[in-house]
Amino acid sequence: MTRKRERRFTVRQKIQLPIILFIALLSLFMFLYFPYVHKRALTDSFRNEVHSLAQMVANSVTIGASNQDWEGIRSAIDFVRKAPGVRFVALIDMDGETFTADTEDFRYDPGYETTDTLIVGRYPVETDLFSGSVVVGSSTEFIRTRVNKLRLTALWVAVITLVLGTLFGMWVANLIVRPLSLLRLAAIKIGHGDLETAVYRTSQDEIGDLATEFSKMIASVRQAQSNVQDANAELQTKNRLLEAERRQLARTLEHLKTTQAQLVQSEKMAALGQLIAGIAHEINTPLGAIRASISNIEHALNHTLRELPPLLRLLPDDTQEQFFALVRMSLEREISLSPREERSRRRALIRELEEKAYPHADEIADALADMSLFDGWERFESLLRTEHAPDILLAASRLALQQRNSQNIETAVERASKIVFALKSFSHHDQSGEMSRADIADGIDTVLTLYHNQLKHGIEVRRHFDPVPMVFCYPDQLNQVWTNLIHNAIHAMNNEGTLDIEVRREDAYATVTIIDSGIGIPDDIRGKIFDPFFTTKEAGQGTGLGLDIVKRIVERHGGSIDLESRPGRTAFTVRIPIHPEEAQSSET
Amino acid sequence: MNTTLRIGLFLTLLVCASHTMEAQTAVIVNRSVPASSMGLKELLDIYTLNKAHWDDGSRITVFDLKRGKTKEAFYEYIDMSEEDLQRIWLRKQFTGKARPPRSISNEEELIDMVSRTPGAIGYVTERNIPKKSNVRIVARVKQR
Repeated sequence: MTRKRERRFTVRQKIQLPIILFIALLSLFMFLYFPYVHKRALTDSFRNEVHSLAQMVANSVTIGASNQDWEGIRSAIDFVRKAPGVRFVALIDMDGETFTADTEDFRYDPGYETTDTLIVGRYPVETDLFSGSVVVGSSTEFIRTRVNKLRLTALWVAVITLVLGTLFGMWVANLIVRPLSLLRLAAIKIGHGDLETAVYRTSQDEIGDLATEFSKMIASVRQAQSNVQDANAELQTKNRLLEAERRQLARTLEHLKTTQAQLVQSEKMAALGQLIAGIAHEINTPLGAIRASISNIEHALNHTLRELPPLLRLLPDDTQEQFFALVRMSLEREISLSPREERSRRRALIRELEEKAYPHADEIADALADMSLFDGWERFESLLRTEHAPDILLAASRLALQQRNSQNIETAVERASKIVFALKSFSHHDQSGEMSRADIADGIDTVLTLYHNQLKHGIEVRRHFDPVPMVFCYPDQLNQVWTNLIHNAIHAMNNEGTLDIEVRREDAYATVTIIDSGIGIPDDIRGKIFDPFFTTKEAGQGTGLGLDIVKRIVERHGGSIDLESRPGRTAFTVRIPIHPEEAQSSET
Repeated sequence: MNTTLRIGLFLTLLVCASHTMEAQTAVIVNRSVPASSMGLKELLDIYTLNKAHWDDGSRITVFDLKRGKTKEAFYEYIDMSEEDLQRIWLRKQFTGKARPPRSISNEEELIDMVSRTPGAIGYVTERNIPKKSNVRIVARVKQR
């Protein structure tokens, strides 16, 4: 039953067909059965009749023969012969000899019996005169005619019955189907959504009940539909409200994002504000060094310009050579000693010079020490033992001093520009909103530079930086992370202790761990430190947004932040994915 | 009138019977029959119903007596037993070719029937034939 039948019987046909079929069968039965029965009855009676005719002839023969009434016999034969359907009247004697007028070559055969077309009646004759039998043969032609007539009549009756039966079947079918059709049309209309369709009760039977129930059902559906429409309208109103609220929320979110970006920036600037005094001092220091160096250079240059030419004139040529070699040697020395060490080595130098009986040993030692020539000066013995040695060495040391102060200026400028660069990169606010490649260690160093002033007085900074590939990130925002963590660490240590900063690579992550030796974070607030507006600082000192911002930034990078704390050791570990795909996939 | 005629006829017959001792059987025909005399063969053909028509085509009606000496004499003459002849007659009725013979009880009635039936043939004692009659004798058979 894989295919659906293309044509089904309609209800009308289902009612009509059995009725018509039944009546057709009845008609066929009438058409076939009645003629058959009639034919049999006719044949039976006719056989009897023919038999009677034979008996009549036989009797007439018996009587006529004894009375010698040949005319009687003859009239009986003629009478029988004229009877309807009779084909022959024959006399058969004992020898089988046949006498008949009707068929010239008729010879009676004992097996000659009734057939379809002929009925044979036979009656024995037993007289003194004759012994044999009378046989009457009659055609069934007239029976056939009669039966055919009856058949024709039966056909007419059958046809009329069939026609009437068909009409009756159609009428009955219509009677049943019409209300059903009306119901069906109503159902189709309702199925297409026309709920105003009226269903009338057309009959007082089950179908009528159906129509009534159907009407009730339509009413229910109409009611339900109206309810649904009301509910839909309400839903739409609510949807509109929801949509409006959603838009409002989206706007708020957008606003929040902007606000958050501004907040990050302002937090950064707040941190910078706190740092700025220290930074100013940091910049002032190299500036002071530069000023002092310039003053030194100026002073030395004046002396050199005034005293060097006459001095050189006093010296013999080879000693001049030695003088410049001494100066070059001094410039090549880059030994930077602590003041204490320098003092001890200076004393040792004086002792050595005195032992070797150099005149003006103190002066020579001071000059050599100024030029950092604590050794190697022996080759210049001839120069040092001359009469003008202190002057010569003073001049040489002044030349070297100029060079050294220039180097100091360079160092100070480098220092200042490093701070300025750190400031610049720290306060930089990237508006593009796009990620870029950056070295995490650089970022940490920038922050350390800015915090140098706060760190240098009591905190030992230990850097453990492993080589880590460039990370695809928002560098400004990561700088904010390091700033906040280092700031908190300094605060936790109360400006005294050890700050360990580790940069490592763990699989696909760059890991930064900032460990302070501070008091640690108590267990009861450990769960709250990343909440916004949570702070342990006194009112006005902190916004409470620092770690919240840190957490958001780290999460935006697809990374994570962990805390491990006990008194004396508090470690914040930040993991940032190195590869952007992982960052993006975990960010979305 | 009819009764007086009959009485007269009876008296005449009575006179004739006493008048001739030796009776003679005569074969008579209706006067319309176109034949004056008949041989034994012809008689046999007629009485076995093999001959059904006279020469002029008119139909032959055979008359027979039911019993009596005249009949015996005639049957002897044509050399047929009564049974055989009657059997033939019976059979001939079924073939439908001949008119059935008519058996009459007495000679007077037979003569009367022959005289009134055209094409009729019969046999009677000759002396019973009235003088004036519509019959003609075509053959004579001696009675023993």
